[in-house]
Amino acid sequence: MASLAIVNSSAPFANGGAQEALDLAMVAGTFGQQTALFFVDDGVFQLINGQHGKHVGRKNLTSQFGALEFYDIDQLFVCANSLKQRNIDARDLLDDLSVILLATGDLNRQLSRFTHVLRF
Amino acid sequence: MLHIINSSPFNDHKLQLCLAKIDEQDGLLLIGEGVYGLNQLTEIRQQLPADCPLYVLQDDAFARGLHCDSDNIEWLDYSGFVELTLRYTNLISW
Repeated sequence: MASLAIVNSSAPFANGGAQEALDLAMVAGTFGQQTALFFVDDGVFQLINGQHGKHVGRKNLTSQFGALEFYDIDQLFVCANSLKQRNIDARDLLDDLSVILLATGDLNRQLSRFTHVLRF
Repeated sequence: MLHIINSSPFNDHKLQLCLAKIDEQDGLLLIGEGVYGLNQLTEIRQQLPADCPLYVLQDDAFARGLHCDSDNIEWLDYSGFVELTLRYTNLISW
């Protein structure tokens, strides 16, 4: 059975990648595809609490993460090493979003379970 | 000289290249994605000459949910940003 891993490696407002990844996740979910999201490198910045996109004229991504469960997307994997490199503590992350922190080896093992991987 | 960094230091090494060249008469300004430098402040301070001021465009930091307790940072709004560029003899955008 086909499954989709969407790897987020872009910061929330860096380019259109973060929004595109989310849009794709919701489309895939709508069509019943088994989908999981991964957050690595600068992608972990998407999960920081207290973002206010309106300061730079952009929409907050964080409010959209809440909709993921309605698309049966409940596997959100976060690279613990990326957090550490960026001096981000687990407490700095969005408090209403359930994510799974993984070490690099475990993250790679999870990723290899999916038939298709797209990176944004 | 005012050095402007607008990319994430975790994504490329422009900030590193800049810090290798910056001297105490210069200033360092973080804007756009460059404000993620706030998550690397200790490392930046180690390489930044002591008298070199560090400026951050506050809207870009607030948008991204970043803040910093250090009192050794000058937070700028857009008009402060413009005014800053006039204070230095020239600008280098990395």
